[in-house]
Amino acid sequence: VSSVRSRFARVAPAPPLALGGLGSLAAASALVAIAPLVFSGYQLYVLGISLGYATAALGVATALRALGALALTQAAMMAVGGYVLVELFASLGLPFPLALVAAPVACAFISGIFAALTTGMTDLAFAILGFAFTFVVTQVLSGHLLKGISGGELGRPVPPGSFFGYSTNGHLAVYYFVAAVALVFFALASMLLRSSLGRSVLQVGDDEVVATALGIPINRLKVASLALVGAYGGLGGALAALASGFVAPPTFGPDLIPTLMAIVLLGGTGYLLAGLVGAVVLQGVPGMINMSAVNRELLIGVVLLLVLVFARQGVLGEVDLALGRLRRRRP
Amino acid sequence: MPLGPIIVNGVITGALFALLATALIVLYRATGVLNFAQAEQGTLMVFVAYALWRAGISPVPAVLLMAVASLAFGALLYLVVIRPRAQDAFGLSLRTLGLFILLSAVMEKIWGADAPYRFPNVFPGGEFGVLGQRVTYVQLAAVILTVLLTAAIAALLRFSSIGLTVRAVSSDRETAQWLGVNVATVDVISWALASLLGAVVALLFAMIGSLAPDLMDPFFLTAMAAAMLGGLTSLTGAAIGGLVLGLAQSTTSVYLNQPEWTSIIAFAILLVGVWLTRARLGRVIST
Repeated sequence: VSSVRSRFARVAPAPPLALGGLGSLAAASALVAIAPLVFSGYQLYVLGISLGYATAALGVATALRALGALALTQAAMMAVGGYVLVELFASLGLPFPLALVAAPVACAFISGIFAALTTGMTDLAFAILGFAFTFVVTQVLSGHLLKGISGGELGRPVPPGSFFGYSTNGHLAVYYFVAAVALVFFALASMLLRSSLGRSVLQVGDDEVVATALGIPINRLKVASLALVGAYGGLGGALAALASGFVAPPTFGPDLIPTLMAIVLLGGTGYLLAGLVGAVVLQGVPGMINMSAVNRELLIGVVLLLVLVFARQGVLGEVDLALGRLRRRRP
Repeated sequence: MPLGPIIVNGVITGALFALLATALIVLYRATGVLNFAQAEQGTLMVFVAYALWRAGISPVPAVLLMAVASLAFGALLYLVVIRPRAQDAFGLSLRTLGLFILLSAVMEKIWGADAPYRFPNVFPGGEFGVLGQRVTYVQLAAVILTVLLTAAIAALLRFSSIGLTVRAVSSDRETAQWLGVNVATVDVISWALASLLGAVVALLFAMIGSLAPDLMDPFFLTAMAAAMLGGLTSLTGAAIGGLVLGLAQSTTSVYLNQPEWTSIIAFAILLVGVWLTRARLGRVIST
């Protein structure tokens, strides 16, 4: 497997996940926290959904940066996460916190099995299977076989839940709940990537031969990491479902694959906050200005192509470079 | 339901799956790029033919113009989207994901509201019986065109000098370049040819059914599975894969009547294909 570094070449060897330090995460959290002062109910509603997408995108970004793996399964994981939440909570009547935990756990399980089955395959094979997997999951969800669970084309409503006394009833309540969960999991990812385990994973992505020589159990680590990536997808799907108040198969169609890629690449692969920046720009802002679905798809297609051709560092990469230049100029 | 109609319908759809798979293979073999937008590209070209027809051009010239336009469009996409600041084949495949959403959004925006459209049939209107199943001339044409085009592609690769060049590039891109092969020409030709094949498939699907922006959505997965059965390189593999999937679809549509089963079977075949060819898949091209 060729190294990720050559593929998404960075100009300067930035430390892993720069701009994902706890400082910038705290700043981002502050912005998310004061957003209700600036935005109206509908805009908050859209922003809440974007935070779900950001969580799933964090998984995609990490898989790409750390393992060089294109997790095209993530769109399907979002669908599964959303439906596990609604099925367990709304249909089977399980307590809300349990259903919310079950969504990422189920996705970690599926994603882990998928990763184990594809161990040793090339990046392309992994990407193709991921794409096909998302395709088939969407087809099955919008078909008749699972209509009872999926609600068909129209989907199903997600009722507000109660999390240890905190009710997610109302725009503001659901926004803060989704934001809190998403940011906690961003912080967790940041800490995990700084741990010795995270550093091992990053080493696997940089150079597998060196990683093997260092005694890192590559395959097991890859499966575990991709399971975690899937968990973020499931959690993101559940959060997006909770924030939007409904879950429907078309939301998670094959279009979501390039959407997640565009979110990650616009933000900048290799940056912890890439998903957050990308999701706000490509999901939040278009929603706030009531952009039609078709125009949003056009935007995503154009952005994805432009970023892939001209700005492989993404927005945060450019910011990082600019900051570096500023720092060097100082005496 | 007797076996005859299942076989006849299976062969017809299977032929179209195989032809779309051939388009994927033509491009992948020469350039290492898997075009996720192949189906959308074809549908867009059929809309071009449709627009020409609505503008007053009779169907046959409109379709011929579409064939020329699709060759040009394939080459154009290569020059505008793939060639600038080229990456490795994997990165370029990622760019086709961008094309995938962009092209489908363009079609949805222009033609989405009034879809589906009836596309004029350029073949004779009647039908005849085979194994107890009525077959229209469009359906017959689909099978014949698939056989002819696949044979033409195979002959082109095997006997012509450009075919030799393509094979040289696909077996070792870098060495071919050192030896003076113009790799860019091979890339342009492959993009143009794949685009034409995709357009023919979309055209036939539009004539058999109707034309809509999401016309090819259900078929891309099956075509990819068919292509994968031959490791994305074997035309014979694609033909067999297409046939198997066509028969699977006609069988499931009779006995299970749930279209998602076709996708599930396609995914299973894709898994088998990837598993069989996992060692060489994606390692064809080094740069």
